[in-house]
Amino acid sequence: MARLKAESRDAAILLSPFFVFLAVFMIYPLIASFYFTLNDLALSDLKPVFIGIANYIELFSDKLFQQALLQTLAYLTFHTAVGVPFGLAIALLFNEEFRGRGFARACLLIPWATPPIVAAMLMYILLNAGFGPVIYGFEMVGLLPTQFTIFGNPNLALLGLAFVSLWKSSPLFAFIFLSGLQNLPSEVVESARVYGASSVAIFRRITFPFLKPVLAVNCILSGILALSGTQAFDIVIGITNGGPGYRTYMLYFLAWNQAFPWNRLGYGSTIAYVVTIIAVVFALVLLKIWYRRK
Amino acid sequence: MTDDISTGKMKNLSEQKGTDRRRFLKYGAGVVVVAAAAAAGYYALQPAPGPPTPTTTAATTLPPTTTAPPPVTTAAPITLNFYTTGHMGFMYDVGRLGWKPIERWNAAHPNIKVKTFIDSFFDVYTKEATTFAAGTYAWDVAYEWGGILNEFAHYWTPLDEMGITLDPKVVDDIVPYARNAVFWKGHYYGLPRMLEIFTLMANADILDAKGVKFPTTYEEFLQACEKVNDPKNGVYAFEVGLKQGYLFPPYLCFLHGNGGSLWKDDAQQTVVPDSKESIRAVEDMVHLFKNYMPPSAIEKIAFVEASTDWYNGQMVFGLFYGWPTMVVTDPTSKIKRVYNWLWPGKKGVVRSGSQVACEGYGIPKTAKYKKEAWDFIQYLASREVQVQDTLGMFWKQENEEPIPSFWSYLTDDRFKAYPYNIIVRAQLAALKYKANRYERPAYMSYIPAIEAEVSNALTGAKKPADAMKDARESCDKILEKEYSTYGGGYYDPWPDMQKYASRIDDLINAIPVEDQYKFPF
Repeated sequence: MARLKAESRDAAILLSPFFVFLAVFMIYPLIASFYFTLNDLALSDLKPVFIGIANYIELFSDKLFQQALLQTLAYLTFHTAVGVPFGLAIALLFNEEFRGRGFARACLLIPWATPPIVAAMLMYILLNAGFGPVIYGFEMVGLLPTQFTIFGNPNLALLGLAFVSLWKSSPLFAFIFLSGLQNLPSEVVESARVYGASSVAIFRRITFPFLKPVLAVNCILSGILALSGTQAFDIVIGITNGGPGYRTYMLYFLAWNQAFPWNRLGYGSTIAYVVTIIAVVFALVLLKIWYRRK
Repeated sequence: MTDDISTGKMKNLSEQKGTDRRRFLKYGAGVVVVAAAAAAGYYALQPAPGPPTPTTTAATTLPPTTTAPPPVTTAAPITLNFYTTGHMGFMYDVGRLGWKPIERWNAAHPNIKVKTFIDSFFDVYTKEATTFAAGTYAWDVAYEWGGILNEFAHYWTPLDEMGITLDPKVVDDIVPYARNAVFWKGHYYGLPRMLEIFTLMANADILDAKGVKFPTTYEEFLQACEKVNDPKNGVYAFEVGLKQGYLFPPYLCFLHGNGGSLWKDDAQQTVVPDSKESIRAVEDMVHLFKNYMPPSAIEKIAFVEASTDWYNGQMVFGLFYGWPTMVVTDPTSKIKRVYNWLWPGKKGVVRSGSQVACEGYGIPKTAKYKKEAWDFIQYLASREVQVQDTLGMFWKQENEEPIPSFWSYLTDDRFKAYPYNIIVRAQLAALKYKANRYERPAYMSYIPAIEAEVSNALTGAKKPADAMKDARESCDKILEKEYSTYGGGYYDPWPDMQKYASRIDDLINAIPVEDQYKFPF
């Protein structure tokens, strides 16, 4: 009994940093930011004025919030519907034996390993209408008009950001798919081949069903990245700063703007909470679909 | 646990695990409670912001011109944390001419080591706001400008709280526009360190080759644009960055060039981006963008990202602070001569209108060494430092240096050599006209609201009148909250500036310049 007590104490001591970390960096901010959502609060005076759910009600009449919400959902849909299949395609390609595969896989990591704001600046430079070599290259071969602008065009800017995000996220999705493919029993695939199954049939009947759990993980990850991850903030602030107009404002970017530059910490926290709720709902829906099918 | 398994007590393991888990959680929760109590105790025991640092300074005059700051000794070595911006390398010892203000200070003050912290201008506001709100010590001297001082004034130390009163001669010597950086509701919070004002620059060789005179009205400017615009050969008549984030300053030039003002003179100082002058200003911007500017301008920040086009001779006119004029001192540049003078206003409305940037340094409330901080601020505001700062100007971003913020420094003999003199003259001349930046508490909210709508007009997403009407709607919401919190009464430097009109004339006339660079005031 005494030893058990001693072991419990030791465990508690060993676990305490985790508990402290959890309390200070997760639980406290969650509670504090929820408290902020119920108050009119600014960084400039830090005197909260309790206003109940007024911040939440304001969301319904805030045109910018509604625009940002729609843009975020469009961004999320594109990010998931295009990014995840693209990651799967890369994974299937890199799962094949070919010369230099190790090197190619290492290169694949580069976009993901690049810090998000650096990736944003890199893409801003590469795709800039004035000095971007990629745009210039397309202009040289006559595929684009002179000084073609992606990020300055209200109809293209959000799509441009989504492609940048895709460039950054797809390798991660691919690696997660690859880890799934590595666990695919080779004898099953070989047996199918022996019985004359085509590659498409093998993919449809064996590979894809096997990858479904990984697919669910990737979809959830994609959603969270697009909603509240680095893709939703760094890429926006690094490339368009929300413009032109408000065309690339997304919820996370709007939450940050409200809380800090616009000095409305309470309202910014409210938007951040809405982002969190959407992310949780998105994950739950995906999981539900997945478990129902299972 | 190993003993239990080895002695065959496996069946109790799960029960023990359950017990242990509960105990872990209990102990863990205990640790969290203790840590939280300790943290709460720590903050409770933190002393309230200290009393004003005692000082015997009744009135302050700026240090005389010296090549190094006067040596000072203090009892014990201290580190003075200095927070400044990245766009002026001079202030962190990487100036073009190698004149190092911080190194000089440190050499003259063996017991006060200045440690510099640098951030991009675009990050300063958020960094200062969050640091101030956290209430922790970070800096003794920090970058200050009207946009943040107005909103966060109670986090800064007013000089009178330190027993410091500025000598009236010093106050009179500060250019009123520059005062805006350090002055809020009757109190000074520091000293200005610089001043910059937008002027029109032109590639003189192209203008002369085409027989085009430097324009003195906006109408002449448009005619000149028509004559020099040559996009087929990659030369555009005009360029300035139109990307959101620094779109507000050029907008103000167009606004003032139409005789407009962003504020009404009412109690709330209502922001009126939908005034007829403002709508005309945006229409002018759209017209210029569609006809005489490169399409890529919409993706570029300010002049910085357009400066390569300037250097390569791919633009004829540019609207910005004076430093791109220095491109002529770069032997690799394709621009050999630059005209620099007033941004022209509409004929019959106003001769010119510009926008001004001014910055200073102040002392945060949480500073540890306020007296030493004040000494350092006076050093940074001294003639020698400000003149050297201007002399270090170059056309590249890291040497984006300004002109001095004190009238008496502006005619320093060292500015007489070309091209400094045309830059100083042009900026002085522009000071005769309205160049307000309208800094006020909610400044950082007004700017994106207006910029987004100007951008909507530029990209054709909205008509200028509709866009600026929407901007007004956004501004009205901001105004309501701002007025209820701050109560109006924001400093407008323009009336004070007009008192100095004859002094400006005298100063301009005191700066020699070749005839080819002389233009009507």
